[in-house]
Amino acid sequence: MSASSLLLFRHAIKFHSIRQFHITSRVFQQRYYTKKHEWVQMIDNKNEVRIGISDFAQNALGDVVYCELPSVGTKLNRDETFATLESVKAVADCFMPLDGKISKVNENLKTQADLINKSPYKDGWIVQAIIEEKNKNNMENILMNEEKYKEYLEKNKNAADH
Amino acid sequence: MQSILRGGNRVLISRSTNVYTNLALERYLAENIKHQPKTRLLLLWRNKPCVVIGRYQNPFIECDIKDLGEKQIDLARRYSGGGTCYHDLGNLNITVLTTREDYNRKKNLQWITSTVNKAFNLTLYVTDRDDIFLDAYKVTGSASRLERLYAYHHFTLLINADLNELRRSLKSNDRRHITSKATSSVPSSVLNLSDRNNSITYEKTIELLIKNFFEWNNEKNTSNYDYIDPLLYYEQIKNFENELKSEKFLHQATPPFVYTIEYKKQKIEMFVTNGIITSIKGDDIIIEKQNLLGKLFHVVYDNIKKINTNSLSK
Repeated sequence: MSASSLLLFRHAIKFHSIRQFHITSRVFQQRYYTKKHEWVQMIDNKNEVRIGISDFAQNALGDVVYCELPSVGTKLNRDETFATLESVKAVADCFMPLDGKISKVNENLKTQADLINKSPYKDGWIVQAIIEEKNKNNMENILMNEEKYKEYLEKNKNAADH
Repeated sequence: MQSILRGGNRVLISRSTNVYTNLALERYLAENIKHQPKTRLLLLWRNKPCVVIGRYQNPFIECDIKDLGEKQIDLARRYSGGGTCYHDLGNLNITVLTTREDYNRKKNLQWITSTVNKAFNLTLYVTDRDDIFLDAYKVTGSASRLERLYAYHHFTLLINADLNELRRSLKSNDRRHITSKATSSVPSSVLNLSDRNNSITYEKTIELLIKNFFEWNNEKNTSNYDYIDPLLYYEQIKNFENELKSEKFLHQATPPFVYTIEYKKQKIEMFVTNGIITSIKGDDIIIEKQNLLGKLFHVVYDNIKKINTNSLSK
């Protein structure tokens, strides 16, 4: 190839790689669950996680009509309330699966609270938080993975319904 | 003092008829009792005339605040969700407090309906909104609060309340001015139990529920019930009571809303968040004159109403 077309070719490849990087940059890992039916999921390989409630929880709650969300920057410990949801059945708190600092809240929930019911694992995510390295590596031990959570649900099937 | 917080199957009847005191007592017990799995605490209480709105409701939508003030009817926001209700001494409040795992609204409501039906020869039934109806009339509305270690389900039971006052108090002329995502009430026609069986009284109902509660829980200790005077626990409950009484909680916990008025055929929109008017869209002259921006909505509410009225009379 001529020098100029080689230059153009190089540019094209660069451009193409950058585009690819953007498309695949958001990698969601597997979810881990708490006994209170919250889920937490790593975003990329950084120290940021996404948090929401499970399908079981949204079903038990009923249609969510209002979400009270935390302010970005709030530091919360594991088991502290990060959001309060009102459904037709109850006002219920959601509890942090891990210590973390809120980095983002799902603004869509302000006008579409029922995204939590319609899409509890995707569009109905509630907050994002920055967590510590040590907790990131410890999730498998302190929380339940998908399989263990399924077992947990089976075992508690006969527990009080909502 | 400490024994009030013991766990187990128990009944407590509040001697207070102050809505703020009773709501504070309920929360204090919920947060501090050592809840034992598979047991229930039953709290029975009633209030002097008052209107109680749900945690995420807007008082301007649900009632006429000025009117309530003039009639000396208290207005309170509770910690649980749900809609607005009117209480007076003919309306029994029932709270079932358990561990979070044992929370079960249906069971509570089924217990009430079967107990009351059997004793008073009625045909109450539970709806899927967790209301209790008698024919086409509502006699019970439910609300709940779920926390990490405990949960409570409380509901009302219309025994012989002043239904006319109820209807008058749950009216608002401001609904059409307000746009918001606050929880809306679902109005229903109501009925007193005593309208169907005039031998039913508040005292008889309490007696019945206390007796039956222990049976329901297979509890041998049937004398585990106490009348409680919340005044004796004033120190413990005063923080909750002060919060419930505060204008801050009543007005600033309202979800964001837009209040729209018309002035000289122009629409003026006021955006209220956390009780404060954060922005106004519309006639600039009005904004300057009235100096409303940044003010607490409920404090300048009367001035706003005057603007609207003036424009109508012109």
